[in-house]
Amino acid sequence: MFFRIQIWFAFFALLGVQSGLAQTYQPLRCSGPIPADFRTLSVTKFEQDKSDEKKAKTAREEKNRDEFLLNTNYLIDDLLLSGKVLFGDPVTVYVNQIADRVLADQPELREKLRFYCLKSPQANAFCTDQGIIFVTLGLIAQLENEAQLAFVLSHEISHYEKRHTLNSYLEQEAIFSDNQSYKYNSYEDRIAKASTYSKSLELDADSLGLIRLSRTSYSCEEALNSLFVLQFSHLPFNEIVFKFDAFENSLMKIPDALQLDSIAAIDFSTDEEDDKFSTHPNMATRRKRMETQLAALNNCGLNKFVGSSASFDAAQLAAREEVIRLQLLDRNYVDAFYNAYVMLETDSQNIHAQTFMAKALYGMAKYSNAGLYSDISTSYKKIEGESQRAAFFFRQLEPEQLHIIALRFLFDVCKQNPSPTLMAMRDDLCSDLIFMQQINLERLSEAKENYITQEKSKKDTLAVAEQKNTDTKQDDPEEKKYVSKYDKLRKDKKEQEVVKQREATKEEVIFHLLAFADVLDDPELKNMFASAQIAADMKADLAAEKEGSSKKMSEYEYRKQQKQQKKQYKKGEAPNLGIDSVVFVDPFFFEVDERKGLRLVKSEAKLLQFSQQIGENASLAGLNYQILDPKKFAENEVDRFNDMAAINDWIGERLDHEEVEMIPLESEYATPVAEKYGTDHFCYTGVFSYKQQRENRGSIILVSILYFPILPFGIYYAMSPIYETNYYTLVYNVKTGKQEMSHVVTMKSKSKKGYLDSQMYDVMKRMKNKKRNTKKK
Amino acid sequence: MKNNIFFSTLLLAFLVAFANTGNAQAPGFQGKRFAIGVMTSPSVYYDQFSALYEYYSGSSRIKLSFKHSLSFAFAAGRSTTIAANIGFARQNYNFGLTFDGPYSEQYGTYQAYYYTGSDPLKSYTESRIKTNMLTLGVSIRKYTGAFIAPIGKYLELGIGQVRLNVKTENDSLPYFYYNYDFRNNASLVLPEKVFRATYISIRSGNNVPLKHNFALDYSFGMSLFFNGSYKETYSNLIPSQTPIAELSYNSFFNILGKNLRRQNLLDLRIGLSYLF
Repeated sequence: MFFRIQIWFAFFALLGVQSGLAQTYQPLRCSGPIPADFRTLSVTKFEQDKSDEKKAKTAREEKNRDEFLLNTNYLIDDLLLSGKVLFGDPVTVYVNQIADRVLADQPELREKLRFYCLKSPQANAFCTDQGIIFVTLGLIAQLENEAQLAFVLSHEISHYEKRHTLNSYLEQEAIFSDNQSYKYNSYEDRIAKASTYSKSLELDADSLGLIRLSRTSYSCEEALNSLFVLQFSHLPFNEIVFKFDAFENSLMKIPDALQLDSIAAIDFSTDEEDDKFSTHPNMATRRKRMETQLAALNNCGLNKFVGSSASFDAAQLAAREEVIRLQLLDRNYVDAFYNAYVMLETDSQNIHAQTFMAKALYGMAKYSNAGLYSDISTSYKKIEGESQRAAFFFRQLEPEQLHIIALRFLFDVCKQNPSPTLMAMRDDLCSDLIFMQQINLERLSEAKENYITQEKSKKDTLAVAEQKNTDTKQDDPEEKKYVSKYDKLRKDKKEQEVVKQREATKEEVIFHLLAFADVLDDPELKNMFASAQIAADMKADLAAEKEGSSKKMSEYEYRKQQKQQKKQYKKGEAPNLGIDSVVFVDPFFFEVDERKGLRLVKSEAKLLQFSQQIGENASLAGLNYQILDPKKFAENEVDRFNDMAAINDWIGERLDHEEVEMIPLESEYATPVAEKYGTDHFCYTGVFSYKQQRENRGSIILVSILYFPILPFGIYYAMSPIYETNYYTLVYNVKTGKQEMSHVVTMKSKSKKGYLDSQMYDVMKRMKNKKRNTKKK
Repeated sequence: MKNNIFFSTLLLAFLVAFANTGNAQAPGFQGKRFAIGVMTSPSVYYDQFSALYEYYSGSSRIKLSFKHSLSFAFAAGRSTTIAANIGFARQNYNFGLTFDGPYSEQYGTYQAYYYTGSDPLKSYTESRIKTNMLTLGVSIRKYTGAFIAPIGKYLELGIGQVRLNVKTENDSLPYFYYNYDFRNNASLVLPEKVFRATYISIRSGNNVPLKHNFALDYSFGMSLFFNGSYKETYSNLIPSQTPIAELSYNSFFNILGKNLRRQNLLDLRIGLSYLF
């Protein structure tokens, strides 16, 4: 029965993947009812956990434990509600199935545990004291089989069972507390001690995990292999030679200078790296311990898969695609490109992989054009393995070359997948090509013709020169007998001229201009360039206008303008937007006290109130609004949860492109959300408030004593803390990708409701108010 | 003439305020740009009429008075309000006077002066002066630190006029003068009882929003009085040499003026506003 369910799951998963391949990639989405973990307030969880605990031995231990429970509950809830945690999606369902198998003989423990996938490209898994085990998609993308996943889960379950997280925290508190200082010579000693303890817990979890795994039918050998996987999980999905075919055509070839001759070998010495200050033991230690333990275990299973391998493959494919999306989101374009390339090598028809590659190229081209390529890349010298070729290639390309190569790739992908976002990216690159690089279709055609002519003349010249050489050599047999010094010099001169001619013809050919050489007659290409020309003209007009107005401006006017801008900024005025509807996403409220630290309980209570205030003020300002507040989602509001996650990703990416004007790659997934809510405008808003003691309190009081009449005021002033409340609002237009409002107000006061109401109403009114005509013609 | 200057100054202040704020958008507090408020400012004053204070019993030297005021404010700009206020205060001064001359029944039985007993040539009277103060002023508030008017921390500049109505209990003092010394010159005896002065003030305060559109307003301020009319009036009218041994009218009103300045030099104001 169980097997049958698995087959159905695999079938549907594959069906989903197959049918999805023909269309735009859709990120993994949560499904089903929102679990209680996501809906319960942190303070409630904390109180519950606290009441479940037995009385600690000492008051200090109890304080530390409570602190731990408070901090972890809030920290984990932050993660749960960030939209980065998945539930009910195919990969998480699969992970839960494996967990069911691992814990088949411990139903009570199974009931206590919850398994969620975390949208992270890093390979990792971790457990919390509350019984939540997170497995990253990066890990699923790297594992080789089900048994390896089963071991990872077994390892994490052991951490939970033995309460390693709490124990580790308490131990650290004890090590780093002041009254233990006599035991340690230095801070390093303390770190080493904490590290030793942490490593012992890891080895303990390995050991217990292996025992648990041995009770299942999974192969215990795979536990060892999983360590190997973890060790090299920083490498791409596979090691495949990076070829340049995808960028080449009959006329255009990638020059040798852009191709790396040899790649850096993968470093296997990390096995025995120094782990003195690490939380985890090095792989050699772990492997050694595990091998010893394995030798003693007699009744281990042999299965790499208990369910079908198709289920695993389907889950892994989904995880890998999502990992690439996350890498694109993190602006890790080279890795995303190479991983997609690996997927494409496995399945040449994988349209998702092609789309990912196209998006990665778009990102690289935009950053390169902006002169910020270094923001998105690491030195290729630091990369090991085959992906180094790709990193080297993209690094060596000039902005213009990368630009045109990316455009060609997008042009091809758009033919297969003409999604609006991809088309917009293609057109954006094309208009930039005309506007920034002054390369239009005519220039491309000219380059092709030149190339053909040059090739022909090169061949002719070379042939003539070589013929001459041959003739000289052949026609004059007497000269062979006697060759004077000057004859030799003449001969050398001729040879040098031939070489020079060869080099000259080489330099004249700008290879990237031939990127479209094979499709110059394509009507779609002509259309693309025609509409791009209009867009480029508009860009040029806009730039000229901007430049013209700044040139015309006298120094006095310029200063006046600067002064006005400064004044507006100082006043805290937000610009008018003239919008009717807006969606507030994931409101934020946080209070920090310099002395008492993070005010977690208070912050959560104020966050709930803040969310309500948003609604009240938006109504007063006459805005149509919706709030996607993860703290207030009901059990059946999974769609809204997914919408929030999509917008969070979009805004997160948009924030990263601070200095580059480009279409966020996530627009493809955010646009449907915008359509659903009937607005293009999404708003991030929040409050950060802190309290700190006034500096130089003693001096203030001393001065007050000297001027006796002001003493009471001096004492009051010195003793009263400094409050600062920052209220921020960012409004984005998902359709245009523009940030329309970026407004921060700093009030030297507590985060009182009334003060915030005053600011919120003002900002929302500005959103609603029509834009002022700044220019009168 | 003085009134003209005062009202011209007021008008100018309003014009300047409007000129600065007319174009700016004024969101107010959630759209509410008007505030009406009641305030009170307690102040401690010292009874300066104490030359012969020891003869007057049953009263404390340190006294507390409250100035109550009503204000109306309008958010004319994003961080500016223009306010008008009217204030009331009442203060009493008790004093005793010794004068040269014997006690005599011939001047009327209801008079409060009496023979001190120790010196046949000295007599004594005691009286109470009641002052009713009325202030009328306008002010401009500038909300600082990104606060939006009419909520938050502010600095206020004000200008106004104070009108002090002085009453002597039973008119004993003037009556005494009339009977004793200036019987032939009655016009000098009864003083003009209303005094005027112009003031400018500067305050620093906070308007903290409470529930239901109410706001708590507290501020700390300083006022400077000038152009007081009391001194001028009486220094001209009262001869410098009077038969009163300890206190002349001239010094009496000087002391009153000093009191007014001192009391209002620094004050704390607290009140409640309603925003609409």
